[in-house]
Formats: sequence, structure tokens, C-alpha cells
Amino acid sequence: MARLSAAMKALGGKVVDVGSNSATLAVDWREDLVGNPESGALMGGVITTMVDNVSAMAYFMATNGTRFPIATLDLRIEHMKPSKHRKPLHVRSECHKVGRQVAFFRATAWHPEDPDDVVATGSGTFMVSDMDPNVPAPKQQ
Amino acid sequence: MSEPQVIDLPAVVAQARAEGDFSLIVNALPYLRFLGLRVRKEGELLTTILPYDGKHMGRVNPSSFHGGVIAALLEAAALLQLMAGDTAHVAKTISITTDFLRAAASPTELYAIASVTRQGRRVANVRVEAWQEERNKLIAVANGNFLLT
Repeated sequence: MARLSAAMKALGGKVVDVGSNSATLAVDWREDLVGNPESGALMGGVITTMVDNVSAMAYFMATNGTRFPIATLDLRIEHMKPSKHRKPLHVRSECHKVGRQVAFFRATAWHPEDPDDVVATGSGTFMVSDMDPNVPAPKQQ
Repeated sequence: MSEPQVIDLPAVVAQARAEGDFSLIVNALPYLRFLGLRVRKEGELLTTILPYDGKHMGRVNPSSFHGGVIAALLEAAALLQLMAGDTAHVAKTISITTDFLRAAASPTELYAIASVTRQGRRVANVRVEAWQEERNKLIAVANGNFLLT
């Protein structure tokens, strides 16, 4: 399993689920992660860090960990609503396409008390590391 | 405590503008303080500085900054630049896209400068650039839309 980066550990991130091409991370609300002291909402950058990290894990799952390292090429986050004060946040990413050079992911953030109420969505791409011919081709979804 | 902390953010922003000291805003915004951001003001333009710190790394040996933390710096630089203008609250990020141009692999701080491309009544569009040692060797660029009301 892809390890949590130092930056993710600093946010207190925990892996709560993995699938064949997906992963889910959780972060508990913490006072020092607040971006808007008037509402108590987490800073957008906290969600961005979670999306980047959990998407790398989803990529790891999709490729059986054979094609690291990767580099994030682009990352877009859309915030539907501010996160709730004092509520934990979950972010799930699915790596839905691994090409020879580029992999694609999409992610969703929500509070576990209401999984259908989406807080933010994200999507982006990774540059895949140069393929080793001895390594089996990635799983196709 | 179950309610958000009561803070008179517009007063903090007004004081920061009056004194040209945007560390006052950083100190009022917990996650910006967590990142350890510093702000330099030259004319109307702010440079937001993210220190080199183990807790910001995405990779070790060789270490480089985490992409999400770089994106957070760019977003923070945009929000601070809006507050240097006439936004008295933390603008709400609607969407932000970050393009990563090269690894932030130098063991040095990261700099970011935001420019407001267009500011309407409700929404501002802001573009941000980040670099490490050389201004023209960009690490990342971001473009975001921010809700002002």
C-alpha cells in the first residue's frame, strides 16, 4: 500500500478503504486546519492535499504498485459548499484510466454523517513513470 | 466549544492593510499559520512564502514539496491578495486548477505571487505563480474563481 506522505500525516490523515482502483482517506476536524475562522470550515488546501494524496493511492491500487513514482500534472478542485465545523471529512478517489504516459483520477469529498451531500469534487492527471518492459501491463478497468 | 471561534476578521484585515503587515491575517487564519506562511508586501503586490519544512514534503530521498501543499500555497496567496484589495473576509474558493510544471525539489522556501485577472461584484478570477530559486523557473501555476459575497 502506498504510504502516507509526511504532508498527509501532518494533517492526521488515515486510510479508511481501498479498492481495485480506488482509495479513501479520512481527516478529523482540527482547529489548526481551519481556513475560515468565521465559519470553522477547513481550508480548501486541506481538501486539495487529501485529493492529491488519495489519488496517488488509487493509482497505486490500479497499477498494483508497479509504476511508481508519479508526478501530478494537474489538479482541479471544485467546492460545492464549505466543510462543516468539527465534522470529519472523507475523500475517495478513483483512478479510472491508466495510460502508457498519463493516468486520470476523480475524487469526491463528504462528511461521513451524510455521504450523499458532496462537499467538494476533484479531478486531475498524473504523469506515469517510464514503463519497465518487465513489468506487467496495468489492469484495465 | 461547538460554535466557530468569534473573530472580527474585517477589523484584522483593515489593520493589516493600514500597517502593510499581512502576517496579522496569517495569524488569524489557522491553516495559513499551520503552513507557516510569511508575507512580503511590495507596492500593491504580495509575495506569499512557504517555508521548507519536513511536514510539507510529499516525497523523501530526494525530498520534494507535496503537490497538495503547493496548491494550498497558491490558493492562500490568491485569498491574501484579494484581502489586500477590498475583500474583508476569506473569499470562498469556487474552483481552482493547479498545473505542476516541475518538482519543488530544492531544500528552500517556495514563493507565490497572485494577480487578480478580473474582479466582479460577486466573483474574482485570480492567477497565481509559484517558484523556488529562480523567478522564471516556475514550479506551479494556478487559476481560481473565488466567491466574494
